[in-house]
Amino acid sequence: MAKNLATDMAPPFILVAHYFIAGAVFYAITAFLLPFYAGEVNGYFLSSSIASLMHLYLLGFVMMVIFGAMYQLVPVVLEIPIFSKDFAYVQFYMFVSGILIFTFGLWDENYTQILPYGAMLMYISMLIFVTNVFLTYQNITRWDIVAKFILVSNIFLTIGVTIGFIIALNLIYGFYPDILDLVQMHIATTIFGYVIMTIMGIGMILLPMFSLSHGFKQTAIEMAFYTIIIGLILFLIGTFYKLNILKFGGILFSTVAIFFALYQMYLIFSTRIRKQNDFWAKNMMASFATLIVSFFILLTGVITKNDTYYLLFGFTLFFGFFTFFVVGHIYKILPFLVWYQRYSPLVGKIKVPMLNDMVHEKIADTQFWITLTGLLLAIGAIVAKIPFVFQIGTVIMGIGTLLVIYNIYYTLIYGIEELENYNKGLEDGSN
Amino acid sequence: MAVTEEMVYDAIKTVIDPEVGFDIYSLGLIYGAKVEGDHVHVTMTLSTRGCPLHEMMKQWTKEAVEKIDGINSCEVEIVWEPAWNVTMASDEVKKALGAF
Repeated sequence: MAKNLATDMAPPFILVAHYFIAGAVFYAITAFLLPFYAGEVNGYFLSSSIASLMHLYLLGFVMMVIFGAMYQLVPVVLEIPIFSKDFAYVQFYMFVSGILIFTFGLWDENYTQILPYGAMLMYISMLIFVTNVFLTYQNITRWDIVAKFILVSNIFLTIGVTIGFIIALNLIYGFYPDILDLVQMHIATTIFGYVIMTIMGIGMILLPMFSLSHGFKQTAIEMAFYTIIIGLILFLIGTFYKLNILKFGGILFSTVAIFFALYQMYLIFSTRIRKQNDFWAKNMMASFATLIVSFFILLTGVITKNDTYYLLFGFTLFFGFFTFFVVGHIYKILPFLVWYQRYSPLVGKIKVPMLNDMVHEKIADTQFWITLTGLLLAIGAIVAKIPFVFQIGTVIMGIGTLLVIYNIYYTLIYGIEELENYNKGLEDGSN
Repeated sequence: MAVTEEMVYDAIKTVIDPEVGFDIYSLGLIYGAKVEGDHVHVTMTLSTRGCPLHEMMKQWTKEAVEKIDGINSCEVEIVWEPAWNVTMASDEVKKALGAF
């Protein structure tokens, strides 16, 4: 019976919705807190309050949405069902509670003792995620570049969260003296090894799919794959054994990998058939532009050894690259999920909307320009060390966040009333 | 009346790709349809491998064809060679996408 075809591999809508809705809530919380960090513009970039906010944003928003999207994308990309959907629910609740406990313990020094418990919950939740992914790979038959990226990024995630858990324990028990080394290894493996490698991998599916690009070569992304692995391994060994030459080599290789990946994205965009610069295309262009800028900032920081550049690098990467990339794809993936749940059974029976209809285009477009304006102001404020301007910039970014939340709500409730009327019509026989 | 390939294509034209907004026949995703009595074998592709609509597109195509009077079953085969490109789409689609 053909009825099962559409549900064979897809996860239930409610599972992915858990991750997307929680991601939106954490995005809103971070946007609300960000203006209160204006004083940090003049401070040290590795303060515990900044670490708390960065974890709230990266784990609560960026990684939350990535996890949700991976549950949707892994089965279709690898052409095999995810190993366990139940694991995904358990992971979600442990992950959310872990983030709340961990970031609060990091933020308020009076509650530092709860920090390891939050870290442990998050650590276990991430192990559940990677185990689920690794077990899914047991049945894989197609080893393309996307499958390789997803596998290796999850290996780096395992290493990264293990180091993160050790750091959390070390904050309380102080058994390892070189915590800064561990922090650098943690940042490299989670942000570059997991988030950026995952974006590179799934970008090879999402970008051509949404821009209808064809006929481009994949050599650049293959080069990026091997170069970033070499870069990260060199960086980890160099940091652990305090061999600066290896560490520098690692940074160099990783930077080259990013530029290979950017060149691949350029190839995809230059062969795109869909020429319209809609809200998705604008978000993608802004995300890649901020990624390039953030890397020049990082290299300047490494050369000048000025902490302001590290702060600026983190801010531009997190609130520029990650924000634009994730928000742009929320506008694409969430409408698909809602459409799939609400309209796919009605195809051929009623006139169903297009996916783009399920996003308020004007608000998405306005949100893009507002977020970009706020971001540029905040970046300028960090460079000039003017806390007041940083506050204005981040408040403007917060308005952008509210518009994203509105659009998520718009998509989630899209067509409910119309469908209720349709179902009533079926009941009373008028349809 | 015997079912013709044209009748199968007309039925397939009712299947719309909700992401792009065009029917899958005009997009050039249908590579062929073979009518054998009351059975139809459709060969089609998708614009991207790994598209989340993969299974649904197959199902909608199958259901659309099976609605034709005189057709009892339809088998839809997804192929990746030759890979889809915009030259396979109709002029109307190319124009709307800005591919001209």
